[in-house]
Amino acid sequence: MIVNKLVKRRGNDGIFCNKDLTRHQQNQAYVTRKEFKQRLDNETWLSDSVSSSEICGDNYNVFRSSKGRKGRGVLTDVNCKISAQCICVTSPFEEIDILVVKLCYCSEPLIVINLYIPPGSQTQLNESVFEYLEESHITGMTLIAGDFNIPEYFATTRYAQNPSSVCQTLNQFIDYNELRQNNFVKNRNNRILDIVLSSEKIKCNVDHMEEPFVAEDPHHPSLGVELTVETKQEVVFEAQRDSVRYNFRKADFHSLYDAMLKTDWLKTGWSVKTASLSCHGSSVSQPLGPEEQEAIVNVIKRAEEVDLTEQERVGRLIERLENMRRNALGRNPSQCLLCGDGFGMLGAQKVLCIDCKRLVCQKCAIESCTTKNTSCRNYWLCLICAETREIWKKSGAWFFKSIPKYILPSEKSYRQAGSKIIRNAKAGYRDDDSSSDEDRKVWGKIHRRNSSTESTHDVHESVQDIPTMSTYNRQTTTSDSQLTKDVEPLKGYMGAMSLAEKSWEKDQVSGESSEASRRESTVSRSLSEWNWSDSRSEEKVSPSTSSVSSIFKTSDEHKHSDTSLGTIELSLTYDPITTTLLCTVYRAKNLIPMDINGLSDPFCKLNILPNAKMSTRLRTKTVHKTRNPEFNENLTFYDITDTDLMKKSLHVLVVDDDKFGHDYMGETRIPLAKLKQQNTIYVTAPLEEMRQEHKGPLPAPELNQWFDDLWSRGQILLSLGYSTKRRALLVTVCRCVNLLPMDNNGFSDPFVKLQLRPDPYHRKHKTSIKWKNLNPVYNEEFAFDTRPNELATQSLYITVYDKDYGKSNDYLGGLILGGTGSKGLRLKQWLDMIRYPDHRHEAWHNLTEEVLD
Amino acid sequence: MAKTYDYLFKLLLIGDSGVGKTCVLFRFSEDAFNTTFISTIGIDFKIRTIDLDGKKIKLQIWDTAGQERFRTITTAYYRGAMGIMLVYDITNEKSFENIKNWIRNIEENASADVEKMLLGNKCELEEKRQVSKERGEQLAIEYGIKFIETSAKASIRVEEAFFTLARDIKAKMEKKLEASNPPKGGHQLKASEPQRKPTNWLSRCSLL
Repeated sequence: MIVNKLVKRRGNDGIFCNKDLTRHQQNQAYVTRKEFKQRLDNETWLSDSVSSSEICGDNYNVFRSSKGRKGRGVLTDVNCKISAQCICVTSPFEEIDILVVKLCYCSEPLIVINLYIPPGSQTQLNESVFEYLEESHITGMTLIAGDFNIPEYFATTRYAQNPSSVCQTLNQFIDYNELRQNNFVKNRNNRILDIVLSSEKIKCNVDHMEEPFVAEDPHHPSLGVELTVETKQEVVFEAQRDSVRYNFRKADFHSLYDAMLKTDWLKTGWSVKTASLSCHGSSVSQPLGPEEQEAIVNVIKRAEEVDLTEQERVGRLIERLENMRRNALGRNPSQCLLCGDGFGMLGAQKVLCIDCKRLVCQKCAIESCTTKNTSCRNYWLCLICAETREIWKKSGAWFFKSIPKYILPSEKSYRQAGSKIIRNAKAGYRDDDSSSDEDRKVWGKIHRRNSSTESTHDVHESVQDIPTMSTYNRQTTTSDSQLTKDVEPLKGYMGAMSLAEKSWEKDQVSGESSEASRRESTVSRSLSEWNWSDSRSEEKVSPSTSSVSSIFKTSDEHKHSDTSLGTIELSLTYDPITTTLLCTVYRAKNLIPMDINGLSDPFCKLNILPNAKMSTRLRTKTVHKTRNPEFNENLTFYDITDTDLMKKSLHVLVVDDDKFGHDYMGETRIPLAKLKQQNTIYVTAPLEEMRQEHKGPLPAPELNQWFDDLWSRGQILLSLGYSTKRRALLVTVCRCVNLLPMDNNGFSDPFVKLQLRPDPYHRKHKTSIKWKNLNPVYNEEFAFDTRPNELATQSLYITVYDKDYGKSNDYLGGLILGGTGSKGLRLKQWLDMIRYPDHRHEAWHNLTEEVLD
Repeated sequence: MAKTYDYLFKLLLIGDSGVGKTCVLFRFSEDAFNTTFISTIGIDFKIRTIDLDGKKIKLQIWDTAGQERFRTITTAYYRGAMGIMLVYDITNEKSFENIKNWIRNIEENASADVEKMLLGNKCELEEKRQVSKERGEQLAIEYGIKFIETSAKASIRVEEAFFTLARDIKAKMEKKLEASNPPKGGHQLKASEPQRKPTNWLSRCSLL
């Protein structure tokens, strides 16, 4: 049962022409606090300068057709909770306003038509309006309400002896569409100008509204409409209004088949000029001959080659971009993001990149301009963003809406180097290889069992091939994720390729050439899967066989070890001659989820501790939307001496990459002392919780030193709680630490702004200003009236500003807590707050430099 | 590998069997013509790199079979195409009428923002003409696409047709990329990073 509050009213002269008055009207609506599902207004006189949100607040979707002319305009407000879609805004009739909105409450959509017919319109015009509505909009669930301006129409004269032509038209319209007139509320002149029509299905109860939203007009009393929809438990397959439904089960298939066979398809649409196709009918189903298949296979092969070059080219572009990203030196907002030059009076001139909204120096940015409607507007792009745009152009991503499949140059070189080994391996194992992935997985498992239990007939290969095999086995376990990753960009052209192959395979009966092609494609697929395992084997030339066995051990170990935060696999190679330490980060597994979708966007930060120099920090690229990222990246530390090896350790930090700040996902420390005995070590290390001393507001100094870009904006301690008694979210801003100094005296004058979005009441809160303080203590509580079920979709925006007089306040940092747009700890605190009301949930958060507005 | 290029555009030629799609492509890629009719088997493609406004654009042009029996294969290539040329034969009324079927095919299978173009081929056979140029233009206007009459045999405007299509795609790309990152107006300056300028600092000094 659905109850609708529908209000119909008439605007008084000028009310909506004036913006301030509109606002007054809006407040009035809030004062009444009456929740309505929808509202229809006639004669709004709204001009375009009045924005929709001003009319009814954010909680309502406003559909309107306001031509800005006197005495015109219709408006429909629909509560945001109801999914609504506007079908028709522009009326096909010059004089008449029609607004059609489709609402979805139940299985069948309700069509709400808001109509305004000005007084004295022609009967003919009315007729055509009704015809238009009949043809285009009326369904089984329709509500029509509006000012029809037919004063001679009485509900009682419906069946009068001599109705006027207008009334007759209206009556016909009502009868033909099985509608009902529901409004019996008469105005001062004992007439009914506003007519409420509804379908038979809808029970409609029209009453005079006691508390009108706007001042009442004597000719048009405010109407409250209560709708009751009788929903039968019938399954409606079609939500589309104008489509015809067929019962296919009852179709006479035999005669259909006959008809299809008899039809001369060649004459129905497609012209044929070729003599070879003159034998009609059978040509459609004629299978492809072997030569034809071969020809197509050759074309597909050629196309694959072209794709490969393209993928390599895109790979080169991507790598260049990744290098640029990784080499970005700027650590805090007072430096250029790219070259790390400090800004200032004597330093570089800074500009704001339009895409990433970060500050860069003019040398590291490109000035461009957009020409929109002949007005040219200049903007700056940092080199990274400019490159990103360029890649979108060059890779075709602009068209396919995502970066297509690519091969990184490093992968390619591995592939070439490894192809020999593959051929070796193929000779030994791959003769009986089947094409499906499942089979191969099984095969891998069998083989693993073989190699681990005892040496069977397979071990006629040299020792060098064993690691290749073992890594291959591991690869198969992760191949699923990689496959899906590969499949995703296939949407575009490659999708078409594989589709073509598939459909063609469907078409053809059989053929040796197809076998060959399929094998060809499997080989190429397996090649791409193999390439990384070869990279392992390539590096494996240096270590002795003893280290080979250590791989097996570590991979076994990690199954048993506690992996609550996941594990990371990497290898370290120390070269005493060049004093370089090469770290190869392979992958991480079972990382903790950070996003609401249960995935993370991890990357690794590597550093040599303690006493690290700024320059020794290295990072991998980010692997998006995964908890088992494959990094496969080589990072090199220079100038590592023997004494360093004894004292220092490698610190690996896994961080979640996020637009609004980075989140801690785990860390591990690997002492380098082991490298004294052995040139290469392979490590599978469990990730650990943040060490005790790092908890709290201040990270340990060693972490702080290279975390500064993550935590440069300071931290804030917030306490959240939902009070069921007050029905409000209570936020306590406890204190902030390490804020940025913004004033010339070396301090800031910080205050915190809070806003809940979306919030129907538009409430904003502000703390007091703490003068000359970088670690202010507020302990101020604020309340946001809201319902618990709304909290899940709401977010709390917290921004910290430096108060300045005589100019705009400086932005110190911000943070979003909430169901949407936050992750990690911020998401956790928010969800805890919802889950356990009437409790205080306190947590520290990092402020980010991202500007939240 | 030898040739480097800036952009790769994938184009597609469709139209009824025998309208001269392969010949148009042959003329464009090899600047040659073959009078014997060989029906295309399924699909084929040719590559030519062109120079457009200083950018090297590699055109991978897919030639499709017009025959119905290859339809499953050919439609699979629609989605990857950035530009589609609809070819008809001006001496064959039916091939012109079928253009609307091909358009429908595009709407069903191709990407929504694919660039389209109408080509009336065999325009050297003026004496056998069945479809007037005006009708071609009219149809092109109806669908809001460009129209060119070409002749692969006499090498008339074939080059022009491909260049026009490539130029349109390039223009679309540039427009789209600008639109996808719409530079927001002045407000971000206000809300953004502190815009501390030396002048500000100086003025404060003078106040003190």
